[in-house]
Amino acid sequence: MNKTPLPLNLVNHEAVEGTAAAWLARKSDTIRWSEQDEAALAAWLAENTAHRVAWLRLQHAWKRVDRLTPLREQSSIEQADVPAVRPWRPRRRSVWRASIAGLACMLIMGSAALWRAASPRSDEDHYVTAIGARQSLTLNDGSKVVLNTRTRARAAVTPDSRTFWLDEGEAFFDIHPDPNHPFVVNAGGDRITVLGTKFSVRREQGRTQVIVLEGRVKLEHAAHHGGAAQPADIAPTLAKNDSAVAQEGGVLIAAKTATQTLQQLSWREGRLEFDDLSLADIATEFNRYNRRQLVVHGDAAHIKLSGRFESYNIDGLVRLMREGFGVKVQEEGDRIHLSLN
Amino acid sequence: MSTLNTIDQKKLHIPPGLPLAIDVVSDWFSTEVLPLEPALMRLLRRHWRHPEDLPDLRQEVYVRVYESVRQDGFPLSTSAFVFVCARNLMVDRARRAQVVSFDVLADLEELPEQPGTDFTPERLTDAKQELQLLELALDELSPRCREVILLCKIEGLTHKQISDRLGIAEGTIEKQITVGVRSLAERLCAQGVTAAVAWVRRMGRREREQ
Repeated sequence: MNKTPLPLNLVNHEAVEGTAAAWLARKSDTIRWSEQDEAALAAWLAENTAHRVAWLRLQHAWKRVDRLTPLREQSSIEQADVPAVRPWRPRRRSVWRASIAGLACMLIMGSAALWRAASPRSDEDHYVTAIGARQSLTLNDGSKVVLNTRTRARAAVTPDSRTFWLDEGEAFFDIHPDPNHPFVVNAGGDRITVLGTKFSVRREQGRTQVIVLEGRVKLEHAAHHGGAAQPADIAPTLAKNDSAVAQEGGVLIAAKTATQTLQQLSWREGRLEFDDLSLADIATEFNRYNRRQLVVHGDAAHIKLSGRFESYNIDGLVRLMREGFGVKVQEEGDRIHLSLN
Repeated sequence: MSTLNTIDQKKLHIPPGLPLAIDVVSDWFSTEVLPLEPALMRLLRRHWRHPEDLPDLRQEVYVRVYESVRQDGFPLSTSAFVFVCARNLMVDRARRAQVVSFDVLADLEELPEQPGTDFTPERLTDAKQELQLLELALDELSPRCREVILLCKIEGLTHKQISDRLGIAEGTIEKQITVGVRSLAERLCAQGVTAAVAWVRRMGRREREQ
């Protein structure tokens, strides 16, 4: 075989990959993997970039297999870190029930408030947030939910089952671990199932987006609008930093970096962060949070920028576009028109 | 220093603190570069005459990309950057090879500066195809190897538990995973979804023709 002779100082990548694989195999025995092992691995990775890239490549493949894994009970090791399942605390609903008239008043006042409406089903709690509002709540099992702007949701959490409906809008979930009672979020026809996890769901017309901060999330996509969810055997399991979009064509999954995931979730702190996003897309995002609406015209839509803004600070964004990019601004009632000419 | 309501310094092309932190480069490498592997392998296969060199070449490209980004920051276009690294590496190697054939070198030097439209990352994967690919990749493994990996990954068993369950030594388990993860990487990273699905279609067609 006429192999091209290689320069003498080249790395033997085949051997390096073998060593990286051996490290990965050792690390997969989570119970025996020690701090010394971690330090030894770090030292080996630091020795040569070839070691590091071989490791990253194998890790990448190894992690993808996680998509196949169904949700299962947490291993005994993980369970040791989990506090005992909190006993169910019944809520005193009567205190919170608002009359229909009361609801109308709040709407007129335009307050960024959350209220729990009188619900036709006594076992469901309803939640609604106004434009620009953000509200944290604690469910009966101790799970914490943060609702974003313009969101409508329902919750039914009992000792026997935990169900949440995200009818419209966006919510971040920090679900109390309970391997015996999966927490299910219904968004349109899509069904998201977790055991104890931190993730967000965003539902708008015909489209569901799921972002995972920690833990595992199973996503079952409705095959047709209004139809039943797909059989569980082809439902992917999403892991940390995965971002999935389910819409008519199917489900697309992207692995993001830790930074990108946090950027997508910065709304929890009232902040919008963009990385190289078009002005058109930025405007769409801002418009979710504000009564005054940005309208972007023509080529101005293609301007790309990165930055961080408080979600209410339309004026700040507009000022930046005018002074930094020469964008023309024209205010007309509740609409702010942005254009380049 | 508050950076709220400002444009990111980095995007104004003021160079960030260099060299970049390893975490940052590693993250970027995993999410932006590795999805290019199917395209990269197609490129290498097309232009390098010796298929047994390909895994080596690929890793060399990765090393160059990683070190370059660590020192100089992120490229504006990841796919263009990886393409150029691969091109330059092949030209370098061909020049240094003891047996130089002029047509090989000429071919390589005629590679364009920019990649074509088919040099794109396989980043967004259709969930159904991804699952098909995963099953295909697992099918490739020997039954014992597959068993060990599934018990480790899906059941979350420790090696001791797997050893007890299957009646094999723990050392063997480590070996099986070592072999298995390399095979998985070949199928998942190097070949990717498109190739695998095409392969499945060809198999299906062949079966129907028989």
